[in-house]
Amino acid sequence: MSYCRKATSVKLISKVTISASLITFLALFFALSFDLTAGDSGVREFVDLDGDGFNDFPQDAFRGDRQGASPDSSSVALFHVDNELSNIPEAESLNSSEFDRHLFSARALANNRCSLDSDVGFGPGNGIGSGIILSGCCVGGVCRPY
Amino acid sequence: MEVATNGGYTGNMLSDSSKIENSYSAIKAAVNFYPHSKTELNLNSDYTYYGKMFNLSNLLCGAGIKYIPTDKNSRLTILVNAAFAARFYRTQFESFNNTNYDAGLSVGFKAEDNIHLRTGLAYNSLQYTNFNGADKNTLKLFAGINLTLPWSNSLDLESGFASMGYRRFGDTVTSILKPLEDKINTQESYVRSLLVDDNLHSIYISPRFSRPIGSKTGFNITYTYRKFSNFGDKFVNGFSTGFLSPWASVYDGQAISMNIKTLILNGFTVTGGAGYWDKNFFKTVENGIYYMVKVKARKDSQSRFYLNFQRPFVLGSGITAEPVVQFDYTHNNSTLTLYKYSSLNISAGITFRL
Repeated sequence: MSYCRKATSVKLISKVTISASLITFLALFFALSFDLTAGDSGVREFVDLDGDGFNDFPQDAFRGDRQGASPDSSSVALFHVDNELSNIPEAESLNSSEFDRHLFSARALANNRCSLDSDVGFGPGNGIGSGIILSGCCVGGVCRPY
Repeated sequence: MEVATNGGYTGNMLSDSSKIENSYSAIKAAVNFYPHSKTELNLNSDYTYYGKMFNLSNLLCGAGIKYIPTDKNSRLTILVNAAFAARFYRTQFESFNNTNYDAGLSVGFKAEDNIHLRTGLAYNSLQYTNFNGADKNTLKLFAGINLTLPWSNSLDLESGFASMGYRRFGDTVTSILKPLEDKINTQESYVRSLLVDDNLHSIYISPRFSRPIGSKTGFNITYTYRKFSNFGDKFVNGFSTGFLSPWASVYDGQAISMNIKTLILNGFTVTGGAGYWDKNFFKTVENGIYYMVKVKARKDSQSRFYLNFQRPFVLGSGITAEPVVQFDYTHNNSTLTLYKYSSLNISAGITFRL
Protein backbone atom coordinates (compact mmCIF):
# COMPACT_ATOMS: atom_id res chain seq x y z
CA MET A 1 0.00 0.00 0.00
CA SER A 2 2.70 2.46 1.06
CA TYR A 3 4.79 1.28 -1.91
CA CYS A 4 1.95 2.19 -4.32
CA ARG A 5 1.55 5.59 -2.65
CA LYS A 6 5.31 6.20 -2.93
CA ALA A 7 5.33 5.19 -6.62
CA THR A 8 2.40 7.53 -7.32
CA SER A 9 4.18 10.39 -5.56
CA VAL A 10 7.35 9.80 -7.56
CA LYS A 11 5.38 9.82 -10.83
CA LEU A 12 3.61 13.02 -9.79
CA ILE A 13 6.88 14.72 -8.86
CA SER A 14 8.41 13.64 -12.20
CA LYS A 15 5.47 15.06 -14.15
CA VAL A 16 5.56 18.32 -12.21
CA THR A 17 9.32 18.63 -12.73
CA ILE A 18 9.07 17.97 -16.48
CA SER A 19 6.13 20.38 -16.84
CA ALA A 20 7.91 23.09 -14.85
CA SER A 21 11.07 22.67 -16.96
CA LEU A 22 9.08 22.92 -20.18
CA ILE A 23 7.18 25.99 -19.02
CA THR A 24 10.41 27.66 -17.88
CA PHE A 25 12.09 26.89 -21.19
CA LEU A 26 9.16 28.18 -23.25
CA ALA A 27 8.88 31.31 -21.10
CA LEU A 28 12.59 32.02 -21.55
CA PHE A 29 12.36 31.22 -25.26
CA PHE A 30 9.60 33.73 -25.93
CA ALA A 31 10.81 36.36 -23.47
CA LEU A 32 14.25 36.42 -25.06
CA SER A 33 12.79 36.32 -28.54
CA PHE A 34 11.15 39.71 -27.99
CA ASP A 35 14.61 41.18 -27.49
CA LEU A 36 15.30 40.39 -31.14
CA THR A 37 12.88 42.93 -32.46
CA ALA A 38 13.30 45.42 -29.63
CA GLY A 39 16.28 47.20 -31.18
CA ASP A 40 16.62 49.56 -34.14
CA SER A 41 14.06 49.06 -36.87
CA GLY A 42 13.06 45.64 -35.66
CA VAL A 43 13.08 44.40 -39.24
CA ARG A 44 16.20 42.56 -40.36
CA GLU A 45 16.94 40.32 -43.26
CA PHE A 46 17.56 36.95 -41.71
CA VAL A 47 18.97 33.72 -43.06
CA ASP A 48 20.54 30.89 -41.09
CA LEU A 49 22.46 28.59 -43.40
CA ASP A 50 24.51 26.66 -40.87
CA GLY A 51 21.79 26.17 -38.26
CA ASP A 52 23.47 27.91 -35.34
CA GLY A 53 20.57 30.37 -34.98
CA PHE A 54 22.71 33.40 -35.88
CA ASN A 55 22.14 35.56 -38.89
CA ASP A 56 24.20 34.61 -41.95
CA PHE A 57 22.74 37.27 -44.21
CA PRO A 58 25.72 38.25 -46.35
CA GLN A 59 25.11 41.99 -46.27
CA ASP A 60 25.06 41.94 -42.50
CA ALA A 61 28.15 39.84 -42.38
CA PHE A 62 30.09 42.09 -44.71
CA ARG A 63 28.96 45.23 -42.94
CA GLY A 64 30.19 43.64 -39.78
CA ASP A 65 27.11 44.42 -37.74
CA ARG A 66 26.55 40.97 -36.47
CA GLN A 67 24.82 41.35 -33.17
CA GLY A 68 26.62 40.14 -30.12
CA ALA A 69 30.15 40.39 -31.46
CA SER A 70 32.23 41.36 -28.51
CA PRO A 71 34.03 44.65 -29.19
CA ASP A 72 37.38 43.53 -27.87
CA SER A 73 37.63 40.37 -29.94
CA SER A 74 39.41 40.44 -33.24
CA SER A 75 37.46 39.74 -36.36
CA VAL A 76 39.84 36.93 -37.25
CA ALA A 77 39.38 35.20 -33.93
CA LEU A 78 35.62 35.53 -34.12
CA PHE A 79 35.61 34.10 -37.58
CA HIS A 80 37.43 31.01 -36.46
CA VAL A 81 35.40 30.54 -33.29
CA ASP A 82 32.03 31.08 -34.87
CA ASN A 83 32.86 30.54 -38.50
CA GLU A 84 31.25 33.91 -39.01
CA LEU A 85 32.70 36.63 -41.16
CA SER A 86 31.73 39.31 -38.64
CA ASN A 87 34.16 42.21 -38.84
CA ILE A 88 36.67 41.21 -41.50
CA PRO A 89 37.35 44.51 -43.29
CA GLU A 90 36.27 44.73 -46.92
CA ALA A 91 39.58 46.38 -47.74
CA GLU A 92 41.48 43.31 -46.62
CA SER A 93 42.90 41.93 -49.82
CA LEU A 94 44.83 38.90 -48.61
CA ASN A 95 44.01 35.69 -50.46
CA SER A 96 43.15 34.03 -47.15
CA SER A 97 40.57 36.70 -46.26
CA GLU A 98 39.09 36.57 -49.71
CA PHE A 99 38.88 32.80 -49.45
CA ASP A 100 37.13 33.13 -46.08
CA ARG A 101 34.48 35.25 -47.79
CA HIS A 102 34.03 32.66 -50.51
CA LEU A 103 33.83 29.90 -47.92
CA PHE A 104 31.24 31.91 -46.02
CA SER A 105 29.00 31.91 -49.07
CA ALA A 106 29.45 28.12 -49.28
CA ARG A 107 28.86 27.38 -45.63
CA ALA A 108 25.59 25.52 -46.18
CA LEU A 109 27.36 23.24 -48.63
CA ALA A 110 30.13 22.27 -46.23
CA ASN A 111 27.70 21.24 -43.48
CA ASN A 112 25.64 18.52 -45.13
CA ARG A 113 24.23 15.67 -43.05
CA CYS A 114 24.79 12.81 -45.50
CA SER A 115 27.18 10.82 -43.33
CA LEU A 116 26.18 7.24 -42.50
CA ASP A 117 25.80 8.18 -38.85
CA SER A 118 23.88 11.00 -37.20
CA ASP A 119 26.21 12.30 -34.52
CA VAL A 120 29.01 13.71 -36.64
CA GLY A 121 29.23 17.36 -35.73
CA PHE A 122 27.37 16.94 -32.46
CA GLY A 123 29.50 18.17 -29.58
CA PRO A 124 33.12 17.33 -29.04
CA GLY A 125 32.79 13.59 -29.66
CA ASN A 126 34.36 11.29 -27.11
CA GLY A 127 37.18 13.74 -26.64
CA ILE A 128 39.89 11.50 -28.01
CA GLY A 129 41.37 13.14 -31.02
CA SER A 130 37.96 13.83 -32.43
CA GLY A 131 37.10 16.92 -30.46
CA ILE A 132 36.58 20.42 -31.71
CA ILE A 133 40.24 21.35 -31.46
CA LEU A 134 41.41 18.37 -33.44
CA SER A 135 38.40 18.10 -35.69
CA GLY A 136 38.87 16.67 -39.10
CA CYS A 137 40.59 13.45 -38.19
CA CYS A 138 39.68 9.80 -38.49
CA VAL A 139 39.69 7.61 -35.40
CA GLY A 140 39.06 4.01 -36.31
CA GLY A 141 36.47 4.32 -39.01
CA VAL A 142 34.93 7.47 -37.62
CA CYS A 143 35.93 10.51 -39.63
CA ARG A 144 35.15 14.17 -39.30
CA PRO A 145 35.52 16.39 -42.30
CA TYR A 146 37.95 19.29 -42.37
CA MET B 1 49.19 28.46 -39.81
CA GLU B 2 47.64 26.81 -36.79
CA VAL B 3 49.04 24.96 -33.80
CA ALA B 4 46.74 23.36 -31.26
CA THR B 5 47.28 21.33 -28.17
CA ASN B 6 44.83 19.75 -25.78
CA GLY B 7 44.70 17.31 -22.94
CA GLY B 8 41.92 15.55 -21.19
CA TYR B 9 40.47 12.70 -19.29
CA THR B 10 38.02 10.10 -20.51
CA GLY B 11 36.08 7.83 -18.21
CA ASN B 12 35.53 5.30 -20.97
CA MET B 13 38.14 5.26 -23.64
CA LEU B 14 36.74 2.48 -25.81
CA SER B 15 33.06 3.41 -25.39
CA ASP B 16 32.09 -0.01 -24.06
CA SER B 17 31.42 -1.70 -20.75
CA SER B 18 35.14 -2.21 -20.06
CA LYS B 19 35.11 1.42 -18.82
CA ILE B 20 38.81 1.87 -19.33
CA GLU B 21 39.75 5.28 -17.96
CA ASN B 22 42.55 7.16 -19.59
CA SER B 23 44.20 10.52 -19.88
CA TYR B 24 45.45 11.80 -23.17
CA SER B 25 47.16 14.73 -24.76
CA ALA B 26 47.38 15.77 -28.36
CA ILE B 27 49.16 18.29 -30.50
CA LYS B 28 48.20 19.38 -33.98
CA ALA B 29 49.86 21.57 -36.56
CA ALA B 30 48.24 22.74 -39.77
CA VAL B 31 49.37 25.03 -42.54
CA ASN B 32 47.03 26.58 -45.07
CA PHE B 33 48.21 27.98 -48.40
CA TYR B 34 46.16 30.30 -50.58
CA PRO B 35 47.65 30.34 -54.08
CA HIS B 36 44.73 32.57 -55.03
CA SER B 37 41.55 33.81 -53.45
CA LYS B 38 39.42 30.83 -54.43
CA THR B 39 41.70 27.99 -53.40
CA GLU B 40 42.86 26.70 -50.06
CA LEU B 41 45.54 24.03 -49.73
CA ASN B 42 45.96 22.39 -46.35
CA LEU B 43 48.68 20.27 -44.76
CA ASN B 44 48.11 18.93 -41.29
CA SER B 45 49.43 16.52 -38.77
CA ASP B 46 48.51 15.54 -35.23
CA TYR B 47 49.87 13.22 -32.61
CA THR B 48 47.78 11.79 -29.77
CA TYR B 49 49.42 10.31 -26.71
CA TYR B 50 47.57 8.10 -24.24
CA GLY B 51 48.67 7.78 -20.64
CA LYS B 52 47.59 4.25 -19.68
CA MET B 53 47.28 2.64 -23.10
CA PHE B 54 50.48 4.06 -24.49
CA ASN B 55 50.46 1.70 -27.46
CA LEU B 56 47.30 3.28 -28.81
CA SER B 57 49.15 6.56 -29.31
CA ASN B 58 48.99 7.48 -32.95
CA LEU B 59 50.05 9.93 -35.63
CA LEU B 60 47.84 11.41 -38.32
CA CYS B 61 49.10 13.13 -41.46
CA GLY B 62 46.79 14.71 -43.97
CA ALA B 63 46.40 17.09 -46.86
CA GLY B 64 43.41 18.72 -48.48
CA ILE B 65 42.19 21.21 -51.03
CA LYS B 66 39.09 23.38 -51.26
CA TYR B 67 38.20 25.25 -54.42
CA ILE B 68 35.31 27.66 -54.85
CA PRO B 69 35.19 28.74 -58.49
CA THR B 70 32.13 30.99 -58.13
CA ASP B 71 32.01 34.62 -57.08
CA LYS B 72 31.15 35.30 -53.46
CA ASN B 73 28.19 37.50 -54.42
CA SER B 74 26.85 35.13 -57.05
CA ARG B 75 23.52 33.35 -56.66
CA LEU B 76 25.32 30.15 -57.64
CA THR B 77 27.96 28.69 -55.33
CA ILE B 78 30.14 25.70 -56.13
CA LEU B 79 32.46 24.00 -53.66
CA VAL B 80 34.97 21.35 -54.69
CA ASN B 81 36.97 19.60 -52.00
CA ALA B 82 39.36 16.69 -51.69
CA ALA B 83 41.35 15.37 -48.76
CA PHE B 84 43.71 12.61 -47.81
CA ALA B 85 44.53 11.41 -44.29
CA ALA B 86 46.62 8.54 -42.98
CA ARG B 87 46.71 7.39 -39.38
CA PHE B 88 49.53 5.31 -37.95
CA TYR B 89 49.49 3.37 -34.68
CA ARG B 90 52.36 1.79 -32.81
CA THR B 91 53.41 -1.77 -33.69
CA GLN B 92 51.05 -3.51 -31.27
CA PHE B 93 48.01 -1.83 -32.82
CA GLU B 94 49.17 -1.40 -36.38
CA SER B 95 46.12 -3.31 -37.62
CA PHE B 96 44.26 -0.02 -36.96
CA ASN B 97 46.44 1.87 -39.46
CA ASN B 98 44.18 3.40 -42.06
CA THR B 99 44.02 5.85 -44.92
CA ASN B 100 41.06 7.99 -45.92
CA TYR B 101 40.44 9.55 -49.31
CA ASP B 102 37.67 12.12 -49.59
CA ALA B 103 36.28 14.06 -52.51
CA GLY B 104 33.18 16.19 -52.86
CA LEU B 105 31.30 18.49 -55.18
CA SER B 106 28.49 20.70 -53.87
CA VAL B 107 26.33 23.27 -55.61
CA GLY B 108 24.17 25.90 -53.93
CA PHE B 109 21.68 28.30 -55.47
CA LYS B 110 19.99 31.30 -53.90
CA ALA B 111 16.50 31.31 -55.44
CA GLU B 112 15.38 34.20 -53.21
CA ASP B 113 16.86 35.92 -50.19
CA ASN B 114 14.88 33.52 -48.03
CA ILE B 115 15.12 30.39 -50.18
CA HIS B 116 18.43 28.58 -50.65
CA LEU B 117 18.74 25.30 -52.54
CA ARG B 118 21.69 22.94 -52.48
CA THR B 119 22.79 19.57 -53.79
CA GLY B 120 26.00 17.62 -53.94
CA LEU B 121 27.87 14.38 -53.86
CA ALA B 122 30.67 13.12 -51.65
CA TYR B 123 32.95 10.12 -51.87
CA ASN B 124 34.95 8.51 -49.07
CA SER B 125 37.27 5.56 -49.23
CA LEU B 126 38.52 4.09 -45.96
CA GLN B 127 41.28 1.53 -46.34
CA TYR B 128 42.89 -0.42 -43.51
CA THR B 129 46.52 -0.99 -44.35
CA ASN B 130 47.01 -4.16 -42.30
CA PHE B 131 43.54 -5.60 -41.98
CA ASN B 132 41.25 -7.23 -44.48
CA GLY B 133 37.49 -7.01 -44.26
CA ALA B 134 36.83 -3.53 -42.86
CA ASP B 135 37.47 -1.31 -45.88
CA LYS B 136 34.58 0.89 -47.02
CA ASN B 137 33.92 2.92 -50.14
CA THR B 138 30.98 5.26 -49.79
CA LEU B 139 29.25 7.48 -52.32
CA LYS B 140 26.76 9.97 -50.92
CA LEU B 141 24.26 12.23 -52.66
CA PHE B 142 22.26 14.92 -50.92
CA ALA B 143 19.82 17.73 -51.67
CA GLY B 144 18.40 20.35 -49.37
CA ILE B 145 16.37 23.51 -49.08
CA ASN B 146 16.77 26.29 -46.54
CA LEU B 147 13.76 28.51 -45.88
CA THR B 148 13.55 31.63 -43.77
CA LEU B 149 10.15 31.81 -42.14
CA PRO B 150 8.55 34.86 -40.52
CA TRP B 151 9.97 36.18 -37.24
CA SER B 152 13.53 34.96 -37.88
CA ASN B 153 12.65 31.29 -37.90
CA SER B 154 14.63 29.06 -40.21
CA LEU B 155 13.70 25.64 -41.56
CA ASP B 156 16.27 23.49 -43.31
CA LEU B 157 15.21 20.22 -44.91
CA GLU B 158 17.77 17.78 -46.30
CA SER B 159 17.47 14.35 -47.81
CA GLY B 160 19.85 12.00 -49.49
CA PHE B 161 21.05 8.60 -50.58
CA ALA B 162 24.28 6.73 -49.91
CA SER B 163 25.78 3.53 -51.21
CA MET B 164 28.61 1.84 -49.32
CA GLY B 165 30.73 -0.91 -50.80
CA TYR B 166 32.06 -3.25 -48.09
CA ARG B 167 32.89 -6.86 -47.33
CA ARG B 168 30.73 -9.11 -45.20
CA PHE B 169 30.39 -12.78 -44.39
CA GLY B 170 28.63 -14.83 -47.03
CA ASP B 171 25.03 -15.89 -46.53
CA THR B 172 26.04 -19.52 -46.13
CA VAL B 173 28.25 -18.77 -43.12
CA THR B 174 26.28 -19.49 -39.97
CA SER B 175 28.99 -19.85 -37.36
CA ILE B 176 32.65 -19.16 -36.75
CA LEU B 177 34.54 -21.18 -34.20
CA LYS B 178 36.60 -19.52 -31.56
CA PRO B 179 40.27 -19.92 -32.59
CA LEU B 180 42.92 -21.64 -30.54
CA GLU B 181 45.61 -19.23 -29.35
CA ASP B 182 48.33 -20.85 -31.44
CA LYS B 183 46.20 -20.95 -34.58
CA ILE B 184 44.90 -17.40 -34.67
CA ASN B 185 46.73 -16.53 -37.90
CA THR B 186 45.39 -19.59 -39.67
CA GLN B 187 41.92 -18.85 -38.40
CA GLU B 188 42.11 -15.21 -39.53
CA SER B 189 43.04 -16.16 -43.07
CA TYR B 190 40.20 -18.67 -43.04
CA VAL B 191 37.80 -15.95 -41.86
CA ARG B 192 38.94 -13.65 -44.67
CA SER B 193 38.16 -16.36 -47.19
CA LEU B 194 34.53 -16.29 -46.03
CA LEU B 195 34.05 -12.62 -46.93
CA VAL B 196 32.11 -11.49 -49.98
CA ASP B 197 31.60 -8.04 -51.55
CA ASP B 198 28.29 -6.26 -51.02
CA ASN B 199 26.66 -2.83 -51.19
CA LEU B 200 24.71 -1.17 -48.42
CA HIS B 201 22.09 1.36 -49.47
CA SER B 202 20.92 4.15 -47.23
CA ILE B 203 18.33 6.91 -47.45
CA TYR B 204 17.76 9.70 -44.96
CA ILE B 205 15.61 12.72 -44.33
CA SER B 206 16.50 15.41 -41.84
CA PRO B 207 14.56 18.58 -41.01
CA ARG B 208 16.26 21.24 -38.87
CA PHE B 209 14.64 24.18 -37.19
CA SER B 210 16.74 27.08 -35.95
CA ARG B 211 16.26 30.61 -34.73
CA PRO B 212 17.83 33.25 -32.50
CA ILE B 213 16.78 33.55 -28.87
CA GLY B 214 17.50 37.14 -28.07
CA SER B 215 20.31 38.96 -29.81
CA LYS B 216 23.20 36.84 -28.56
CA THR B 217 21.90 33.30 -28.55
CA GLY B 218 21.11 30.83 -31.27
CA PHE B 219 19.18 27.60 -31.05
CA ASN B 220 18.55 24.62 -33.29
CA ILE B 221 16.77 21.31 -33.14
CA THR B 222 17.45 18.60 -35.73
CA TYR B 223 15.68 15.36 -36.44
CA THR B 224 17.20 12.64 -38.63
CA TYR B 225 15.65 9.44 -39.90
CA ARG B 226 18.01 7.07 -41.67
CA LYS B 227 17.06 3.70 -43.14
CA PHE B 228 19.37 1.05 -44.54
CA SER B 229 18.23 -1.52 -47.05
CA ASN B 230 19.75 -5.00 -47.58
CA PHE B 231 21.10 -4.74 -44.04
CA GLY B 232 19.14 -6.90 -41.59
CA ASP B 233 20.78 -10.31 -41.66
CA LYS B 234 24.25 -9.29 -42.81
CA PHE B 235 27.22 -9.55 -40.52
CA VAL B 236 30.68 -8.12 -40.85
CA ASN B 237 34.19 -8.70 -39.63
CA GLY B 238 35.23 -6.25 -36.94
CA PHE B 239 38.32 -6.20 -34.81
CA SER B 240 37.59 -3.82 -32.02
CA THR B 241 34.81 -2.15 -30.08
CA GLY B 242 33.62 1.39 -29.57
CA PHE B 243 35.31 4.30 -31.22
CA LEU B 244 38.05 2.17 -32.76
CA SER B 245 35.63 -0.06 -34.59
CA PRO B 246 35.29 0.51 -38.33
CA TRP B 247 31.56 -0.16 -37.96
CA ALA B 248 30.84 2.24 -35.09
CA SER B 249 29.92 5.00 -37.55
CA VAL B 250 27.53 2.90 -39.64
CA TYR B 251 24.00 2.63 -38.25
CA ASP B 252 20.43 3.48 -39.10
CA GLY B 253 17.57 4.67 -36.91
CA GLN B 254 16.25 7.95 -35.62
CA ALA B 255 18.05 10.83 -33.95
CA ILE B 256 17.03 14.11 -32.42
CA SER B 257 19.45 16.71 -31.15
CA MET B 258 19.28 20.24 -29.82
CA ASN B 259 22.08 22.79 -29.66
CA ILE B 260 22.40 26.24 -28.16
CA LYS B 261 25.17 28.74 -28.88
CA THR B 262 25.39 31.91 -26.87
CA LEU B 263 27.61 34.99 -26.63
CA ILE B 264 26.02 36.35 -23.47
CA LEU B 265 29.19 35.84 -21.43
CA ASN B 266 31.41 38.70 -22.49
CA GLY B 267 33.99 37.44 -24.99
CA PHE B 268 33.05 33.80 -24.57
CA THR B 269 31.32 31.55 -27.03
CA VAL B 270 29.41 28.92 -25.10
CA THR B 271 27.81 26.00 -26.89
CA GLY B 272 25.82 23.19 -25.40
CA GLY B 273 23.59 20.44 -26.58
CA ALA B 274 21.59 17.34 -25.86
CA GLY B 275 20.81 14.50 -28.20
CA TYR B 276 19.12 11.13 -28.37
CA TRP B 277 19.84 8.37 -30.88
CA ASP B 278 18.31 5.02 -31.74
CA LYS B 279 21.00 3.01 -33.50
CA ASN B 280 20.81 -0.28 -35.35
CA PHE B 281 24.25 -1.63 -36.14
CA PHE B 282 25.62 -4.36 -38.33
CA LYS B 283 25.92 -7.71 -36.69
CA THR B 284 29.65 -7.75 -36.06
CA VAL B 285 32.05 -10.59 -35.38
CA GLU B 286 34.44 -8.86 -33.04
CA ASN B 287 37.75 -10.52 -33.53
CA GLY B 288 39.98 -10.55 -30.48
CA ILE B 289 37.22 -9.44 -28.14
CA TYR B 290 34.91 -12.38 -28.48
CA TYR B 291 35.01 -14.55 -31.51
CA MET B 292 31.38 -15.48 -31.52
CA VAL B 293 29.78 -18.67 -32.63
CA LYS B 294 26.43 -16.91 -32.83
CA VAL B 295 26.27 -13.24 -33.82
CA LYS B 296 23.60 -11.19 -32.08
CA ALA B 297 21.98 -8.03 -33.37
CA ARG B 298 23.09 -4.79 -31.74
CA LYS B 299 20.55 -2.05 -31.08
CA ASP B 300 21.54 0.94 -28.97
CA SER B 301 19.71 3.89 -27.51
CA GLN B 302 22.06 6.68 -26.61
CA SER B 303 21.77 10.04 -24.83
CA ARG B 304 24.50 12.65 -24.98
CA PHE B 305 25.05 16.06 -23.43
CA TYR B 306 27.90 18.48 -23.97
CA LEU B 307 29.03 21.91 -22.91
CA ASN B 308 31.79 23.88 -24.52
CA PHE B 309 33.47 27.18 -23.58
CA GLN B 310 35.73 29.09 -25.99
CA ARG B 311 37.40 32.46 -25.59
CA PRO B 312 39.51 34.04 -28.33
CA PHE B 313 42.37 36.41 -27.50
CA VAL B 314 44.53 38.59 -29.70
CA LEU B 315 48.16 38.26 -28.74
CA GLY B 316 49.49 40.82 -31.21
CA SER B 317 51.51 40.45 -34.42
CA GLY B 318 48.52 38.78 -36.01
CA ILE B 319 48.54 35.85 -33.59
CA THR B 320 45.30 34.77 -31.98
CA ALA B 321 44.76 32.26 -29.22
CA GLU B 322 41.60 30.28 -28.49
CA PRO B 323 41.44 28.39 -25.22
CA VAL B 324 38.64 25.85 -24.97
CA VAL B 325 37.20 23.72 -22.20
CA GLN B 326 34.67 21.02 -22.96
CA PHE B 327 32.56 18.48 -21.11
CA ASP B 328 30.78 15.56 -22.71
CA TYR B 329 28.57 12.94 -21.07
CA THR B 330 27.22 9.84 -22.83
CA HIS B 331 24.81 7.21 -21.59
CA ASN B 332 24.36 4.18 -23.81
CA ASN B 333 21.94 1.26 -23.56
CA SER B 334 22.31 -1.73 -25.84
CA THR B 335 20.95 -5.17 -26.56
CA LEU B 336 24.55 -6.36 -26.12
CA THR B 337 25.89 -6.19 -22.56
CA LEU B 338 29.27 -5.12 -23.91
CA TYR B 339 27.80 -1.80 -25.04
CA LYS B 340 25.91 -0.81 -21.91
CA TYR B 341 28.02 2.04 -20.64
CA SER B 342 28.27 5.63 -19.62
CA SER B 343 31.15 7.98 -20.14
CA LEU B 344 32.28 11.38 -18.95
CA ASN B 345 34.97 13.22 -20.89
CA ILE B 346 36.64 16.46 -19.91
CA SER B 347 39.26 18.24 -21.94
CA ALA B 348 40.98 21.58 -22.23
CA GLY B 349 43.16 22.99 -24.94
CA ILE B 350 44.38 26.01 -26.78
CA THR B 351 44.75 26.84 -30.45
CA PHE B 352 47.17 29.44 -31.79
CA ARG B 353 46.69 30.93 -35.25
CA LEU B 354 49.06 33.06 -37.23
